[in-house]
Amino acid sequence: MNEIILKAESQARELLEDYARESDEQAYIELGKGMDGAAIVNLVIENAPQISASLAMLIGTLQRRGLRFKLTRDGLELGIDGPGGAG
Amino acid sequence: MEPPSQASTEWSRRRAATNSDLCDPSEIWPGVGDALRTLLIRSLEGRKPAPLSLEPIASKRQSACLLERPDEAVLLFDLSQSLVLHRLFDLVRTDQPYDEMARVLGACAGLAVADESPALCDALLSLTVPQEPEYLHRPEDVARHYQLLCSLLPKFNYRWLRSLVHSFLIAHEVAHFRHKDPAGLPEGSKASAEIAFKFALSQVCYEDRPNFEDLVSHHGALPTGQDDVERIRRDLVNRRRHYEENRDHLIEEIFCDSFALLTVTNLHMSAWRPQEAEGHKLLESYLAFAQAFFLIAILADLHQAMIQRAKLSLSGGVESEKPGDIADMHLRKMALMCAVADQGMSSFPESEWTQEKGEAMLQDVTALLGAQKQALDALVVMPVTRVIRARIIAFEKGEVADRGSTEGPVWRGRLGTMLGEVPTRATFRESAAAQLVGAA
Repeated sequence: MNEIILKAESQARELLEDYARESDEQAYIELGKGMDGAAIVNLVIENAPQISASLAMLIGTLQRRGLRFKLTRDGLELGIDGPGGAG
Repeated sequence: MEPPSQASTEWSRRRAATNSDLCDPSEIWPGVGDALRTLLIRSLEGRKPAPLSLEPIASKRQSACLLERPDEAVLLFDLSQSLVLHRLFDLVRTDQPYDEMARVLGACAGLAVADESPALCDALLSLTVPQEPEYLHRPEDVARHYQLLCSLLPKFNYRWLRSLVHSFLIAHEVAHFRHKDPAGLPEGSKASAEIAFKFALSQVCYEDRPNFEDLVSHHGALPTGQDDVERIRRDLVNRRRHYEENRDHLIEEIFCDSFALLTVTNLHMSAWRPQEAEGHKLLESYLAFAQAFFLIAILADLHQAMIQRAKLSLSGGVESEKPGDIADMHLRKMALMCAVADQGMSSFPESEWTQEKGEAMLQDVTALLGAQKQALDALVVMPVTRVIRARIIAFEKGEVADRGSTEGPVWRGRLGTMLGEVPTRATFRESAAAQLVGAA
């Protein structure tokens, strides 16, 4: 099903929201709150067989700003990782 | 016929699958999800026919969560969290010594870091409890707290405990879901959460009080050196800064806990409310119920606190300076006292409510729940924390024998203590149960 999920720390929320709003891809944001107090911010891109140029740019921005994130496709982790990963 | 809005969707099932890292959700007996969904519908009280579904999962993270996308939401109900909370409540209720509690919570902390550090996970799963008691308090104080705990035990003897824990977890997440829509919320509930936040802050961060040293030593009951005093002062300064910076987030959590108390109290009315009681008699029954609810909050806090200790070990050592957010649940637990007091006022007709009566109620509730908290601190929280901390320190110093790599995940078949063997087999299909607690 080629669903890419970029799971980021909450400070990255605005960047991810901007991306979802402006993207031509089928992208949306998922927000979560855990009983343990942890916040979840996911950027979901549907029907994405590979990382698009615009997503690669977003990843670059996250890396430059030192924001942690994790990238998965259909539940499997992809190789690009932010500093330390988003856990 | 249109399916009920709480039914699973393709997306909710997919998210359950990606978040359930202890077993595939299809390995959970279908009846478990059905029972939880019934509780969800009862928690919503028919007020909001929104697309909120519930999926049971089992994760190493051990925490329920609400996940929302633009047009729907799913409550991921973590069975590993609810089974642990049942188990901990049962150990207190049946008056077991803290040893087993330390083993359960050691396993929880280990499981939470299993991916990052299989070796620490292994060390915590094979934790042994020293024969010498780890109480920090003097024997006469331990005896005093034990006496109080014994007087509380009959109040914790609920047959409907399972439903109490489940509805607490569900209602908390439902509150997050409803938080954005103030019209559907009980009047004044957000303002009450703000007041509760300020109250809890004044209780938890006491570093600027003139009798700080006396408070640190629990009025002389605990041995504390000058180093301990300064370390605790620094911790509390950090925490205060963190609490102020994350005020809105914490007020939302406090709101959700209060909402959960209200929902759980209403859902279990027939279990605690005596027939035809009013005024003080009604209040007495309600407060006994609130004490059971508060025990769950204490145990949920301890559960997360031990997980945080294991994570702290990985990020810089268990004795390194604690991050400000390490005790968010402790703050929430203290704030819950305000919610218990607010709700206690509803035992009386509205015409009898006065500010003085409200303040007196808060004082009474703080004394009642405060004594309960102190007893649990002395008999369970502190000794368990010491045992687990000592194990982590021994691991950090390389004093725990490395068992070498094993085939498959290090926790395989070893979660029986943590989850309870029988409840696990009643919750998961045979192959998943074997993976979690070992073959029958």
